[in-house]
Amino acid sequence: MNHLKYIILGAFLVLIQILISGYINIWPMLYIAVFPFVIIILPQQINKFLLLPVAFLLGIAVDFISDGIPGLNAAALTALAFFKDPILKLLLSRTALENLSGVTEYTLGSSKFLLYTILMYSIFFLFYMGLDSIGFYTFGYTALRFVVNIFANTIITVLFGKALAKQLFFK
Amino acid sequence: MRIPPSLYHLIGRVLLFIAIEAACIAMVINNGTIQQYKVVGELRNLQAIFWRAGNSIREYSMLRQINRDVSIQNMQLMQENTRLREEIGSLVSSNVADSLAATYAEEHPHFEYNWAKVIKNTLNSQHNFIIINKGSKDGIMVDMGVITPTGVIGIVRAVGRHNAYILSFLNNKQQISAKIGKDAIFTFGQLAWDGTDIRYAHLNEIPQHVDVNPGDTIYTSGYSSFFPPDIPLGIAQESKVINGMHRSVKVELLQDFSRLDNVIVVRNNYHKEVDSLSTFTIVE
Repeated sequence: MNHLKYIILGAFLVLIQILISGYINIWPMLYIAVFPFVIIILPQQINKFLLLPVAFLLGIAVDFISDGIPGLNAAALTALAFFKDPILKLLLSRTALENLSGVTEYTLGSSKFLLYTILMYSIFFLFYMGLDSIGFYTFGYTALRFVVNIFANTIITVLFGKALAKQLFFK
Repeated sequence: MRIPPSLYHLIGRVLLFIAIEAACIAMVINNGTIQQYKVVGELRNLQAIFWRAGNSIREYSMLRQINRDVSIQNMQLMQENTRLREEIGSLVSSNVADSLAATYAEEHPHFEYNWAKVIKNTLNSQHNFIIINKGSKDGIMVDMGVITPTGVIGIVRAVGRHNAYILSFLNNKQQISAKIGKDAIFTFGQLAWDGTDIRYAHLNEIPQHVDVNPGDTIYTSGYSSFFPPDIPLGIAQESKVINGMHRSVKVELLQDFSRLDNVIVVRNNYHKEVDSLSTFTIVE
C-alpha cells in the first residue's frame, strides 16, 4: 500500500491548518480543523493500533505549530482515530468494510460519507470542547459552538473530499 | 477457554487510547507549561521573522490611516497634557491634595514601563496570543503585565531574545481583577472575555445587591501584581444576576484589539515578593 501519499497529504493539511489558524479571522467561536481529513479518509486496512500514535503525533504537531494549547488537538484527533473503526462498522456491513479502500464519498456514497463525517467531527469536537470549554462556558454556549463547528467542518470536509480525494487519490 | 487474538488487539487499542488521552489531558491541565513556554518559545522566534515581514507590508499599506490616528492621538495627548497641568496646578495649591499626590507616588513607585510594538496578534481563537518586538535583551521578562492607556492586553508568558509571547486577554484562561463604581466607592470583580466578540467582556462576581449603572467605567483593581491600579478597561452595559448569587456585567472594552499596535510592558519590582507572600503559610 502506498502510504507516501497519505504522509504528503498529512503534511499538506498541517500547513493549511497553520495558515488557517494564523491568518484567517472569521469568528472566535469557529474552529476550522482540516487536518482530521487525512485520518477520516485513511483506508481501513491501515494498522488500527498504529493509527492511534499517528493521530496523536499529527494532533500534537498542529498543537505546537499553530496557536493552540498543547494536547487539545492531539486528544481530539486520537479519539477520532479510535472511534473511526466502530463508526464504520456502524455504517457498513462486514463485507463492505473488508473491501473498503479509502474512506471517501466515492467509496461510501454521498449520504453515508456525510453521516460518517458528521459522526467523526462529533467525536473530534466532543473531546476538543470537553477539554477546552468545560467549566469556562455555559452549556448553551458550548452546545452552539459544538453544532456550528460540526456543521462548518463537515461542509469543508465534503468539499475537500470532492476536490482532493478524486483528483489525487482515486482517479 | 481460549481468548481470541482480536480481543487482545482490542484491549491493547483501548489501553493505548486511554494512555494517550491521559497524557493529552495532563498536558492541557498543565496548560502545556513546558511545551508552550520553552519549545514553542523557540518556535515563535522563528515564526516572528515571517510575522515581522508580513506586518511590515501591512503597516506600509496602512500608513495613511496610521498617520491620521497618530495625529488624533497627538491632539488628544496635548489636550490631556493641558488638563493634567491644570489639575496639578490646582492640586499643589492645596495641602491635602499635596499629601494625596505624594501618597500615590509613594504607593506605586515599583512599576516600571517599557513600550513595545505588536508584530503578531491573533483574534480568531479561544486562546489568542500576541507577539511583541522586544525580548530579554530589552529587559522583558516572564510574568510582566502588558497594557495600553485604554486597557489590559495580557501577560508575558515566554520570552525570546528579541521577541516575547503574550497570553492575550482574549483567552478563556485569562481573568483580570477589576473594579466598578464611582466617588471612591468601588466593587471588585473578575473581568473575563466571553469568547464570542472581541469588543466585549464580562465583569463577574459582583454582589447582586450592588447597583450597576450602564455607562459606569471599569478599572483595574490593583489587586493583581501584574497591573497597576486605575487603568480604564471598559464601559458597563447591561447586567444580570447569575444563578441568584452574583451579578454579571457586560462590558464594552475600551481597547480595540483588532487595531493593537503599540503596547506598554509593565514591570512590578515587587511581583516576586507579592507572589511569595500570597503562598506563605504560618507553620506553628
